[in-house]
Amino acid sequence: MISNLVSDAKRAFITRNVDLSLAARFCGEAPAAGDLVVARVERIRQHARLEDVYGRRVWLYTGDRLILAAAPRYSTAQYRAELPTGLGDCQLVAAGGIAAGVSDRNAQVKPATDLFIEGILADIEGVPLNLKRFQRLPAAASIRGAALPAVMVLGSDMDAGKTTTACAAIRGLTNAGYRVQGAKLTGTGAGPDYWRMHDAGAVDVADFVDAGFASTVGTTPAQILEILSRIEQRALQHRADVMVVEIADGVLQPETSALIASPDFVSRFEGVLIAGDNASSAAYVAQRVAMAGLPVLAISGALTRSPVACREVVAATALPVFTPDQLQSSDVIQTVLAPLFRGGDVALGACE
Amino acid sequence: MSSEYLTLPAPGEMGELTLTAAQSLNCLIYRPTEELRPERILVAVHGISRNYRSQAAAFRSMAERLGICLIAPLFDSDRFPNYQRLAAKPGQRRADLAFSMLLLTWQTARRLSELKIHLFGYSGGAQFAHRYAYLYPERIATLSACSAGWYTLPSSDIAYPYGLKSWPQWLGTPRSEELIRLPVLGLVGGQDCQRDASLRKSDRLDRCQGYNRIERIESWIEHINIRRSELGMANHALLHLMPGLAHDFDACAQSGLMLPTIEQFIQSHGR
Repeated sequence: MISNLVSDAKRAFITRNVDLSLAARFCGEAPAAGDLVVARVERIRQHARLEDVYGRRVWLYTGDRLILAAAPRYSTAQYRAELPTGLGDCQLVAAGGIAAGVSDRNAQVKPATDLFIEGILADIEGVPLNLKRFQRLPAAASIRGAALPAVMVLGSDMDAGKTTTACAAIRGLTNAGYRVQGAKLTGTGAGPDYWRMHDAGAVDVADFVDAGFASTVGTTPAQILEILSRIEQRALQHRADVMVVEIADGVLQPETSALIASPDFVSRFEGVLIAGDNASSAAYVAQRVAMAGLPVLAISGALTRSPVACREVVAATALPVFTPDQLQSSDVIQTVLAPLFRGGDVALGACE
Repeated sequence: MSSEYLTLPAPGEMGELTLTAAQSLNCLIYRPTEELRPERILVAVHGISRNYRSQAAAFRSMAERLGICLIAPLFDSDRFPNYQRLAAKPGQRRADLAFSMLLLTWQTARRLSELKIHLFGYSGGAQFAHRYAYLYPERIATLSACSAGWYTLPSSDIAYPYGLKSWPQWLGTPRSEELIRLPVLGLVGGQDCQRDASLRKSDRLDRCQGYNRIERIESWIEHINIRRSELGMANHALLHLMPGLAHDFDACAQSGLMLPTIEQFIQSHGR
């Protein structure tokens, strides 16, 4: 019985919006991106734990059955992986619950945990349970133009401190009395960033999973822009004042690179917070952002652990650098993000 | 050389530019007939009258002779009401940030491995210039400050904004020791001793820096030179008094006392 199999399985974070009571049978021979699959753990290697829908990282054992989503993944720090071409052997390529076939691996991580896909979950009509059917975000508004001010958090690479920077901004804005919508707009479905934005004080957090994407590998700027519009609608429902939007990976990642080359996308933001893992990479990202016609509002990220690196960035760019702790200060973040809040400037008098 | 995100005027011409990457900062740009040093820019910052066109017109021929581009930014009063102080309180747009993005876009578009500016400011523009130099000394080739109403003195014993003590965190970290080492020229009119309506006045400021623009620039230059002496530096910051001139940019520019002094200073000290 599928229902018994599903109820006994360990369910991944990325399936959080899916109504699993609809699962009635297996269907098909090759999963589409976003299809839910039941996979058996064959051999535990890199990922020994799986994030569940509550954010707990549950331990895995050989023979466990998992409910995952099939999707490609792009990660310079872990794996490049393709959509499985059929049932059978594949790998667990992200702890959030992505089943895919590894094509490239960073030498610093172990080979991915091996899986065996037993079937693609479908409803009683035989229609696959795909994340697209379980979207939490409202439809995009037809109005054009920005309704809510938004700042983009852009990084030099994975582990550059993007989420730390985004969460520091959320915390600082919250401390200053703003209602903040947190958003992870691109990347691979995963819990830590999502929960961390909640913990930082965001009144709501949304990501591409809420728009039916397991990952955003291969998406177009137009698709991402639509997700952003839908997140904005949700932010309006939550009476948010401002959106802090994190973009995954680094500026050289193909989809990210296409996004910042898109005038429609760029025009949606008042500015960028850069998270750099080192001084030269931060300076490079600042140049790319300038070329895109976007204001850099501040530089932060992992590099700020080093005062010397901070000096190098300031020398190279003449842009302000703040640690995540500093960004949590309401005075600092309100000044950094002042261009988001038009009409807030009040002259203190016309003296020199 | 121009690019799709930075369009420069033709050689020998003045053009106006608004850069979205620089928070839509508007500026006038003069490009010399023969550009001898692309890695240097002459920047002229207006006072609170925001006469950036007068600044551009006054410095145009100097830029031509030096063979470097001239930028005269406009810090509009709506968005940058307190540009003199970069920003005067938390939550205000930082004028330095918009200006830095202008320079970064320029440097990127023109593929320059280094970019330094000969920074001049008049009155409120001189305030902007010296405070910008505190934050970004690496960007400065020379600093010429003329007739500011008051200064942030390079002293950690004097409380901000008149000194560096308790400089606000939201405004970054001042680098006083690096500013001290820069080529610095102070200028002021010999008749610029009026306590006019636009001059900031308070007992504390009067005690700290003097009663008028002449006394205050003398105080600023003296503080720099005391520290230079402590550091064993042979060269001193210069102070140039312009006889007969009051607080009037156009009069200073036309007098033949201000612009040649600045040009000679740049030629002598511009690395």
